Amino acid sequence: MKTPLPKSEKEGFRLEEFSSKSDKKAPFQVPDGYFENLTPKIMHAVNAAQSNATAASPFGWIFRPMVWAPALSVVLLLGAAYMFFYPTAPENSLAQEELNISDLEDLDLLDDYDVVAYAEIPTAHEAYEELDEEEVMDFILDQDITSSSLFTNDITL
Amino acid sequence: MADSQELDLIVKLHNPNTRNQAFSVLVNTHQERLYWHIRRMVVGHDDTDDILQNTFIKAFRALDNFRGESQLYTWLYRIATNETISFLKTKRLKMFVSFESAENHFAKHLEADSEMSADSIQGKLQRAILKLPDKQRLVFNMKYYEEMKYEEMSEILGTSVGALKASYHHAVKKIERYVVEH
Repeated sequence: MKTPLPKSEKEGFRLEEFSSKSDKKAPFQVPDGYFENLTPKIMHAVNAAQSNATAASPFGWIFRPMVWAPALSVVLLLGAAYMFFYPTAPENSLAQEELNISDLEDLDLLDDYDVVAYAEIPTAHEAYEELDEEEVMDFILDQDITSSSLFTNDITL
Repeated sequence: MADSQELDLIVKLHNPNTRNQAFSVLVNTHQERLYWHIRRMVVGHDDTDDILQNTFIKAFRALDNFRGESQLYTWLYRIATNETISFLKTKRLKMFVSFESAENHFAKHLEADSEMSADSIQGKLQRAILKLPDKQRLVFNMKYYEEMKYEEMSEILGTSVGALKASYHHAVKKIERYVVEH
């Protein structure tokens, strides 16, 4: 059984044909004289932004690297020396005790399956069923996912 | 801009004594093209004006970091694109909070700011373009309206040529289908 042609193919609207017969310029209106006055307007905005940046903080000199870098180095050295000579972790801290698996079982913690059930999170299969092909395609194109990254599972979202 | 002119301009931009004058030349050369790039994405003139100014302000502040590894226009274009995408993300978030559809918001601007009727093919085309996801709309505008080469688009957007071609092809199909069905 043949798959019916999409409507656009049957009725023949082609963007390329349309653009060859019409002006491609986007039909937006621009205020009269806008571009003639734009350069001085932008230069004024740029200069104003620069003036605001330099005038923003009378104590801006404090944040210059040449001022705070040596001070930070001294603080870090002192901190490292303190940690070396006065270690804070006592010998019997809780963090140093080894946890036993039986301890966790006794505490009756919920496992992952229980958490999922209570949260009513759909399974992966159900989640994918809610997406149509076009949404999946849009996502792939938008994220610039290539076929090689799909195979190597190398996708960072 | 010819290569020698561009190199000369870059030198002047890096010199504090000639920076302002050189930047004025840069603005005058590229303002209109950047304006339309932004306008096609955000639709409204006032928003476009704001984003364009922010683009040039950021560019001026970053002049010392420009190493000439790309052309000045490509660099400016990239800043404008980032500013536009940031604006659209913020706008969509505000629309979400107010329960207004972003497409409806941009469609209202389209009717108010354009010279076409909503029922015309051009009107349907513009509404179809607005329905594309932002990045795909960006790719479509760059290819269809600005007739950029895929390699140039790849340099600006940091996306592979293959992905751009696929995105554009997919966008065209969606637009054609929309125009027929509405």
